[in-house]
Amino acid sequence: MDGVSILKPLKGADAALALNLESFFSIHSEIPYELLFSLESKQDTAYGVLTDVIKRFPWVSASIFVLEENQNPNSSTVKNPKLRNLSLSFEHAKFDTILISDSNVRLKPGELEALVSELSEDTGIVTAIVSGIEFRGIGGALESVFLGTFYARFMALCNRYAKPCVVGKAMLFRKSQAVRFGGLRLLSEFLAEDFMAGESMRKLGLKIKTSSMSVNQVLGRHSVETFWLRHIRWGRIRKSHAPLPFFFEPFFGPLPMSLLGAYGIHHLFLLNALQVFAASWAYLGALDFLCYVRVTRCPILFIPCFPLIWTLRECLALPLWIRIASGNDVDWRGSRFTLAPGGLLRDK
Amino acid sequence: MILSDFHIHSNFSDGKHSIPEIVDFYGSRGFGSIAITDHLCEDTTFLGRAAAYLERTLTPANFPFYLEILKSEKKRALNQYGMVLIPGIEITKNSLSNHRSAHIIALGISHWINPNLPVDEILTQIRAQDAISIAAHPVSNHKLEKQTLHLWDERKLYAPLFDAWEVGSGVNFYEEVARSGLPMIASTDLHRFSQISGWKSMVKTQPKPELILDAIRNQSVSFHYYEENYDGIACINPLDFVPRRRDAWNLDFISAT
Repeated sequence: MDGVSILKPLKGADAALALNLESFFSIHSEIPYELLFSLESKQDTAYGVLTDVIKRFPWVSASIFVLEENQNPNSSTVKNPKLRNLSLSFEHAKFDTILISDSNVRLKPGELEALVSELSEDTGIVTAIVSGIEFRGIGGALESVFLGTFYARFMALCNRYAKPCVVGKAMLFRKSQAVRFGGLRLLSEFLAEDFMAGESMRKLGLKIKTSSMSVNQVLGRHSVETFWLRHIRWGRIRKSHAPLPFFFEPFFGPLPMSLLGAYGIHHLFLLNALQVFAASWAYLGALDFLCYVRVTRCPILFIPCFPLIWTLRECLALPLWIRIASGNDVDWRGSRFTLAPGGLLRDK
Repeated sequence: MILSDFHIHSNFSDGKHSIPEIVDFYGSRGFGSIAITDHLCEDTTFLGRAAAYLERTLTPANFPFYLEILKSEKKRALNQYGMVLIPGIEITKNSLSNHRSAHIIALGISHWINPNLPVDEILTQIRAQDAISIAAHPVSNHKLEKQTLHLWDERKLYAPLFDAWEVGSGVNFYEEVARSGLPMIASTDLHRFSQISGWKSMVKTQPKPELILDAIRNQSVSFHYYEENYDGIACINPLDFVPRRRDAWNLDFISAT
C-alpha cells in the first residue's frame, strides 16, 4: 500500500474539536498519510480551529477544501450534505486507500494500523465499533451506553452473520473499488451512505471487516432531546434499509425478553414471575455492562451510574421504536428529508 | 458462433453469486456472451412486496448500483476474457395463480422500467430502450414448482411484441415452444454455479452487444445442451466441457438459422 488519504468533513465546532484534529496530526506510524479537510464555507466555526492546528503541525501533509470557493459542478446534485462536503477532497485524494473519519472522532495510537491491517485484497470496507467517550449530561451518558451496548452488539452480530453494517465514523476502503459501484456519486442519494457503501461492496463479492480496535467518538454535552432526535434518525434509517429486522427489534431488548421469559417460566414451572424477571434483568444488564466496558473502557466514576442509565435506556427503547415506526421524516444538518424505502432521500 | 447464456441471476436478487464472480465463472469457460438478468418484482402485490422485504429483487434504491457494477464488469469481461456482458432484468409478475404469473426478460436495458405496468406497456418500454424482450420459461416444466404461464396463455396477443420465447430453460426443453413457430432462445436461468448444465444458445454474429441482440431478433441462433460435472471451480478445465446436442431431441428442426 502506498499510503492512506484521510478525509475529514467538518461542520461546526464539535466538542473538543482541536484535540480531535490534533490526534490525526500526531499519528506515529510508518504508513504514509495525508489529511484532507473539507468545509462548506470559511465562515464555519471549524475553519478557525483547523487553521490553528495546521499551523502547529507544518510537517504534516494537510489540505483544506472549501466547497463554496471551489464549487464542483457535480456537487449541486448531491443530496447528502456530508458527501457534498466530501466530494472535492475525495477527487483530490492522492492515495488509493481512503479513510473517511468524522470530525468528532479522536484517533488512538495504533488505530490506523489496526484498520489498515484488515484491508486485504478480498475486503471492501474496514469499519469499527464506536465508543462514546467524554460525555456530559444524561443525554451523553445515554448515548454512550447506547453505542457501547445495543449498537456494539447489533454491529458485531450483523457483520459476522448477516448484512454488513458500516459506520461512517471510520470507513477505510479503496477508491478503485468504490468506483466500480459508482462511488460517492451514487451514494449521495442516501442518508446512510456508510450502510450503502457496505452493501455495494458486498454486492461486488467483497468482505466487510470490523477493526479489532473501537473508534472513539467524543460526545461532549448531550441533552436527552439530542439523544432522542438522533436515534429517531438512526432508527428511521434502519427501518428504511432493513424493515424486516427493524420490525423484530423490540422483541430482542432486555425488557421484553425478561417480561416474556418471566411470564413463560411462571406458567410452565410455577416460579415467582417477579424473581425470574429480576434475575433475567440483572443477567442481561451484567452482559451489557461487560460489552460496554470492552468497547468503551468505562470510566470508574461512571460504574455506579451504569445500571441507572442502562435501565433508563432500555425503558426508552420501546417508546423510541414506536416513534421511529410512526414516520419517515428525518432532520439532519439543518435540512429535513423523507426516507423512501431502500433509504433513498427525498426532499421534504 | 458465440456460446451464450442470457438468463443469469446475481446476489442483487435471488442468485447466490456476485456479478464479478459470475463474469469469472463464465469467462473462464470460454463463453462469448452472457446477460445478467436479476428479478425486478412488482411492488403492488403481496409476493412482490415479500421479495422486496427479503431483498430478492432489484429496487429503485439499488438499481443504479446494479447498472454501474454491470458497466464496470462489462469492461473487465471484455478486456480479461473477450466476453460480452449484456445488462438485463427479469421483470417478475408473480401471483398465487400460475396463469396470472409472467416473467419477462429485457436484454440491453439502460433505464429503470416500472414493473407494475401491464405486460404490453412493459414490452413497449423495453423496445423504446432498443432492448429486446424474451418470454421466460413460458410453459410448464411439469414439476411441482411455481410456473409462469400467463404469457403462453395470451401468446396470440403478445407474440408481435416479444423478440424471443425461451425454448430451453436450464435442463428443461419446451416442445410446445419448439413447435410453435415463435422466435426462440435457450438459457440457463442460473442462480448457483451448480446449475450450469443446461440449454444454451449459440449466436452467429460478431462479439458486440448490439450485434448479439440483432442476431436474437433475426434468430441467427441455435440451441445446444451444455453439460459439465460441477466439481468446484478450481478443478475445472474449460476445454473439458464440449457442448453437445441432446440425443433425445432432433434439434435440426428447431434451428432457426
